[in-house]
Order: sequence, then C-alpha cells, then structure tokens
Amino acid sequence: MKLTDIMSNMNLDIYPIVALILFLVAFVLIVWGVLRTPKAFNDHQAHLPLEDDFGMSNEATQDNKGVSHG
Amino acid sequence: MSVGSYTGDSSGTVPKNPNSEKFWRSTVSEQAAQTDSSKEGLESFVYDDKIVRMFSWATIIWAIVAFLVGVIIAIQLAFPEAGFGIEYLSFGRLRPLHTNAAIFAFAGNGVFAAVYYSTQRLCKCRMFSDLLSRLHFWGWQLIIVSAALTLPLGITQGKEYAELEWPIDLAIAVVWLVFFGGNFLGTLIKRRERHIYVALWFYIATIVTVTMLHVFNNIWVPAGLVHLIKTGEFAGPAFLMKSYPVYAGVQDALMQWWYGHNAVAFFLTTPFLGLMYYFMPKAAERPVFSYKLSIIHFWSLVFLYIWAGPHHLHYTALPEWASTVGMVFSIMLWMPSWGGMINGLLTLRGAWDRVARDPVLKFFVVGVTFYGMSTFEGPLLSIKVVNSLSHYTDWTIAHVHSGVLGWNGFMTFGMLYWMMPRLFQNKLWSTKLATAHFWLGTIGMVLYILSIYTAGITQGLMWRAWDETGRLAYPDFIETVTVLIPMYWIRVVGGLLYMSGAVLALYNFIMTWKGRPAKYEETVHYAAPLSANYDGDPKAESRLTANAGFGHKGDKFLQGDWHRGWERRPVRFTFYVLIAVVIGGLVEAIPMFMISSNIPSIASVQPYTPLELAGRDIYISEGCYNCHSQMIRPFYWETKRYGDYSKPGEFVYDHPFQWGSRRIGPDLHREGGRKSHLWHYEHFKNPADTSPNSIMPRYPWLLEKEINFPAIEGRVNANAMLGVPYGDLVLEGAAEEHAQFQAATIAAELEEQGGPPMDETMNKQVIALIAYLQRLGTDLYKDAPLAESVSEEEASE
Repeated sequence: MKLTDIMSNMNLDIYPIVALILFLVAFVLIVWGVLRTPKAFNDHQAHLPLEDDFGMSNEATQDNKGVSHG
Repeated sequence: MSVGSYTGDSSGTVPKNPNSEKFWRSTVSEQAAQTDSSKEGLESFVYDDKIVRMFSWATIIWAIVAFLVGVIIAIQLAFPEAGFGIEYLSFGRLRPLHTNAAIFAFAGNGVFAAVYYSTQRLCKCRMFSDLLSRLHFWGWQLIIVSAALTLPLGITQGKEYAELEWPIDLAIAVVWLVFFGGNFLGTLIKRRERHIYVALWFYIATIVTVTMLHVFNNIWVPAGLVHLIKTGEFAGPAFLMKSYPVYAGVQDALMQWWYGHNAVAFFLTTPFLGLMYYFMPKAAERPVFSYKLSIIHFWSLVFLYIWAGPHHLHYTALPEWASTVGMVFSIMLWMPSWGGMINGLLTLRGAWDRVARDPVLKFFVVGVTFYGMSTFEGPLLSIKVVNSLSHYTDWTIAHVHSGVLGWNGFMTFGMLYWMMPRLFQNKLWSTKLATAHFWLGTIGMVLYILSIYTAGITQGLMWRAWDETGRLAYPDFIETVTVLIPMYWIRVVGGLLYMSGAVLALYNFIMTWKGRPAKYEETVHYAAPLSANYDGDPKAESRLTANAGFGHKGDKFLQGDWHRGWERRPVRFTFYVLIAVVIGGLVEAIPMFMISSNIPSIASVQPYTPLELAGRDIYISEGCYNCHSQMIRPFYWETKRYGDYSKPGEFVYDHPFQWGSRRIGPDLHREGGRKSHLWHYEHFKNPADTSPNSIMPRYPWLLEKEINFPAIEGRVNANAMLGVPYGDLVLEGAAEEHAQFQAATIAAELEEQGGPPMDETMNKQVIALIAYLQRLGTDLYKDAPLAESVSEEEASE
C-alpha cells in the first residue's frame, strides 16, 4: 500500500476547515494582543523611523527651481 | 566626520509603568540623551551607504532595461514584423526577459536599496557584514545578466516568473538566502534598538517566504548534467542547462501558481509595505497613522496571502475545492490590504499641502493608491464568475501592470527621489524634472491600463459570444485579435511615456551625483549595545482578585504582552512567520500530492514519443506558453471553439505543465490532428500566409536549425527518472533511433502534402515541433493500450 492510498482513504475533507479555524484563532489572539498594547509603546514604535538619523530635511533636499516651499 | 544621533538602551533601571511614555522613551533616545555628554558606554558606528548607492543605481538602470524590453514586445504585438524574424528578438523569448527584469531586476534592486538603507537605521547598526553586502549585490547583478543572456537564447524552464534554469536557480538560492538573508538576520541580531519596527517584520516575511517558494517550485532533474555524468556525452550547452521539474501537470500547476501568486505577495507586496512603513513617515515627517493597524496588516497578509494561489487556476483541471479555498482567501485579503492602504494615506494627515509641491509625496500617494486599486482588483478577479471572463485575457495584464507600474514602480521612484539627495549629499538637481517624471509616469500608466482593460474585456466578451443558433459569434480567433490592435498601439504610447519618465529620473540622478562632495561625509552615530541584563518589558499582572491560578494566567495572556515579547526576538519571530506560511502552503499542497483521487488516471494517455518530447522542449524554449494556453475550460463557448474540455489525467506526463495564462493566440490543447503538417510548416514560416492578420511572429529558424538528436536520450532518461514509463526507450540508442524514424515519417507525410522534399526537413526542429503539436490532446480519443500481463490471445478474445 502506498502513502497516496493511505491518504486517499483518510477523510481529509475537513482538513482545510480545521486549518482555517486554527488560523482564525491565531489571528484573533494576535489582534487581541495588538489592541491591548499600551499606547505609549505604540507611539514609541511609530516614531522609530523619525529618530534614526540626522539627515537633510525634506525641504532641503530639493532644488529651488520654480518650486515654492511655502 | 560629523557626530550623529546618540541613542542608548535600557539597562534595567527604567520606570516600570508600561502606560508611561517615559518608560518606552527611556529605552532609547531620552535615556541616551542623558549620557550624551560623556558617551560613556556607547558604541560608535557608521552606516554603509555605499551599498545603498550601488543598489539604487542598479534599480534605475535595470528599470530602463525592463521598460525598454516591455516597449519592444508591446510594439511586436501591434506590429509583429518588429521581431525581424530574429530568434533572439521573438516575443516568446523576450516576454520572460521583460517580466524577470521588471520583477527581479528593477523591483528587486529597489527592495534591496530600501532594506539596506532602512534596516541599518532601524537597528542602529551597520549591516552585519560588508562582504556579504557586496557578494549580495554582485551576485544578484550576475543573476540578472545571466537571465538577460539565457532567456533570449531560449534557455528556460517554461514556468512563468520562474523561467531561469537550474544553475541560475542555485545561484539565486545562495545569493538570496546566504548572502542577503544571512546578512539581514545577522544585522537584526547585533542591533542596538530593542524592538523591531514593523517594516523589518515585512522584510523578514519576504526573506523567509521567497526562500520557501523558490526552493519548492524549483525541484528538478538537471537532464543535461545527468546525461553528461551518465554517458560522458556533451550534447550542447543549452541541453546542459536543461531541467525537468519533478512535478507534472496538475501538481506542477498548483505548485507553480502557489509560487507565482506568492511571488507577487512576498516579492512585490510585503517588502514594498516595509518600504512604505519606513519611507512614508520619513517623507511626511510624521509617524505612521496607526501602528496597531500596521501590525494587524502584517499578520493578516502573512496568514491569508499564502492560501490564495489557486485562484489562478479556476475552471481548469485543478480540483474544485482547491480553487474555492483560493477564492475565499483572496476575498478575505480585501480588508487587510485596504487597511494598509488607508494607513499609508492617513500617514500624510496634516501634510497634504506638501503633496502639491513635493514629488516624493506625489509618487507615494499615487503608489499607495495603486496598491489599494490593485488589491481591490485582485480579489475581484479571483471570484469565479469574474474570472471566467477575465482569465486568459489582457485584463490580467492590465491588473499586473497597475500593480507593478503603479504600486511597485511609484513607491520605488518615490523612495529613490527621497534617498538620492541624502546618499549623494547634494540637493536633487531638478525638482521640476522629478515632477515631470511623475506626470509622464502617471499619464503613461493611465493610457496603458485603460487601453488594456478595454482590450481584455473586449476579448473575453468576444470569445464567449454566440448567436441565437448556438454558433460562436466570432468563430475565427483572429477576429478577436485584430480588434485589439488600436488598444495595443495606445499601450505602446503609454509604455513609452512611462519609460521616458524613468530616463528623466536617471538623468536627474546623474546630475545630482555630479554635484556630490569630493568625499562623502560619514556621520558617526553612537548607541548603547543591547543590555545583556535587560529584564524585559513589564510583565502583565493579573487583575483578578479570586484565587484561580488558571484565571490569572488567562488574564495575563489577554493583556497581550506576549506579542511585544515576540517583537524583540528576531529568530523566534522569523520562526513564527515561517510556521504561518508553511502551514498555509501545506494545507493545499498535501492533499493535492497525496490523494490519488484528485487526479483520475486515463488509461489511453501515454507518454510523449522521444521526438514529441524534443518538440515539446522546443515549444517551451520558444516561450509558446506566453501566447497560447493548453487548458480548455468547461464552458460552452470554449468547448465549441476548441473541443472537449481538459481533464486532469491528460497532463500526468507534462513536466512542466504548459497551461499558460493568456491567449494572445488560441488554445492548443486539442490542436493535434486539426490541421495538416504542411499547414503548420507554412504557419511557422510565415503565420500571415496561413492566417491573414495573425500577429504571431515568423519562426524561420525552426526551418533551418537541426534537431539535437544526441540529446533526446538524455531527455527521455530524465523523464523516466521522474516516473514516466518509457520502457525500452531508455535503452542506449533506442530513443534517438525512434525519434529519427518518426521524424522521417512526418517529413515524408509533409512532402506528400506538398511540402519540401523530406531529406530537407527530416532533421529540422520544425518537424519535432509539428510532431508535438499533432499529438496534443489526442490521447483522450485513443484506445487504452493493453496491459502487459494480458497476452495477445487473451486480448483477442
């Protein structure tokens, strides 16, 4: 008997449904965890790209040819 | 050298209230500022911007190459003579070059530039290894050059977006996983910022998933190499690079589109979302609108995307359940995709006035908008009834281009315009030119996409139209092609405009680069190493008063601090991402590969003869699948036009499958026996002679080039290794002898039909290709061969 025969005789119709439920549970838990995250932590995380470098400001990187920087 | 930012990490003496801003701030900048005066305990480092410059240059140069090849093949569709009858310029060979250049050369180098720039800054450290960075860069460029050489030569695996042959596949695995992945993971491990920003999560998902997809979709038998080792006979360089995938037919199709769809997801979506979450806040000078939404966006995509691949195979021989799973998960992708788009656009809150004058923000706004549009359209196209109209039409092509040109292209250009002045330490040479690029690109895209949407829907409607008597309204396929030519010309104009914008960008970057300082200033940054005695984020405390142990644990769990723990453990985080994508893939793949009932066998379906196999390899090499499908769907209008619908069991010997994904020309699955050898011969010589107004290119070289007979034995043996029952044909010399006999037979029949003398054609490639085409789809109507155990007498009874 081959592995494919064994698998064929197993009722795997429910297989994708079980996997879907597992993933749904994992997803709900992650969303729950995210929603419970302290605001201060999220604020800190969100600011990471803005504090990583002392570079040129956006306005300073552009030429002034015909552009109003208001 | 100048001194840059000072940052530091907590060493355990921080406030313990997680709701306190001071707690989180004290883990980085503020606490570091307290030690600014002395820099005591801080480490100094310089970012490696040279590697970012290298990838940025490669991005813009390959962009122009990819767009140029795209324009050339767009012209060929409107004016087929633009191929000049030269094999290296034929549509079937150049189209894979265009797609590979756009995806892996342009978008790929753009992704690498983004990753190398942002990862160093988000991790507050230089890349793990400069050597690995250089090996990655040069290795990747070598792969691209190899693709640019081999694809026009017809060296291909014949699977869309995975055309590159096995030696290049191996190189990709090493460069991607070892050089890039190793360098990236090493950087995460030696980082000086405790928590990993969401952009880095998207990069992790990209590296992990693309590795998995690439490996599993490229398991093959290198036929030429095996033949060389086994016999010591060298049958030519092209055959040395020839491979056959271990998968066949339906299984190969599932694997290929699992790969193909997720290549879009994890090569063209997740890394660009990482780019968006890093560069849009930089350009807007404000943080991402909702960090929580970005986390949900990330996990939703990782969970859902990997399941959606089978929606590329609706109404094919793929089992119904697999395509339904693909459709349902595709529709579920609507929400996170739009959540991400809204998050990106709202990051510009309060900065919309700057969009009018800042080309970077212009590119980003339109790029993110195209992300929203194409991720709305993708699930729409996955709905079966919509797919029945759109599949195989140019609608899919329009969809893909709105994603790649609009989302990937504009995000990349926005990033480059933001980075180049910083990398070259000089103002952008011309903001006006950048704005001109934006408008050329936008108008070009609109022209391209609208014309091809029109073409696609026109095709779909014409293919399915029938009159009151039940006959097809447009029975001649050519009718559904010629009507599209005006749209194809508009596409050429659109493509030219988009490419012109990229040329302006290159010029702008060169002029900006010319004004760079004599020596780049390298800012020295300081940051504390991650503390070894870091005691973690504050632990959740149970809020329950009752003495219930399990309840306390549950309450702590529900407070969600475990997720924050993941975010500072890159190896564990990577592992969880891997689990999510592996399970999603296995759910679809295991039943398909294991359940034999999914692919009912058909007794009359037999392996291709050695000559037909050689002809099939010519079909693959010429890229015929770029224009012709081999999959008749179970619709009235398809069976009426092409014949009986395709059955899964008909493809069990197809290594690789050749179902195709579009019909610039008609489906060929039941082509066998429909036309004479002479018709095919004349058709390859000049399609317009047999099919007036055809836009198929001429293939004069097939009439001149000889069949590689010595390689046929290697082809048969490799397929036999994969389980194709070739019997005695694997014996030395048997396959070649069989092929020569069949070639002589077909050449003689061709001569009888009014073709050239048989001795002029019997060893030419066109004969092998005719042999293959005449076989297509015919096994279904043959008698099943007698089982070996049944004697002739028993059979006669």
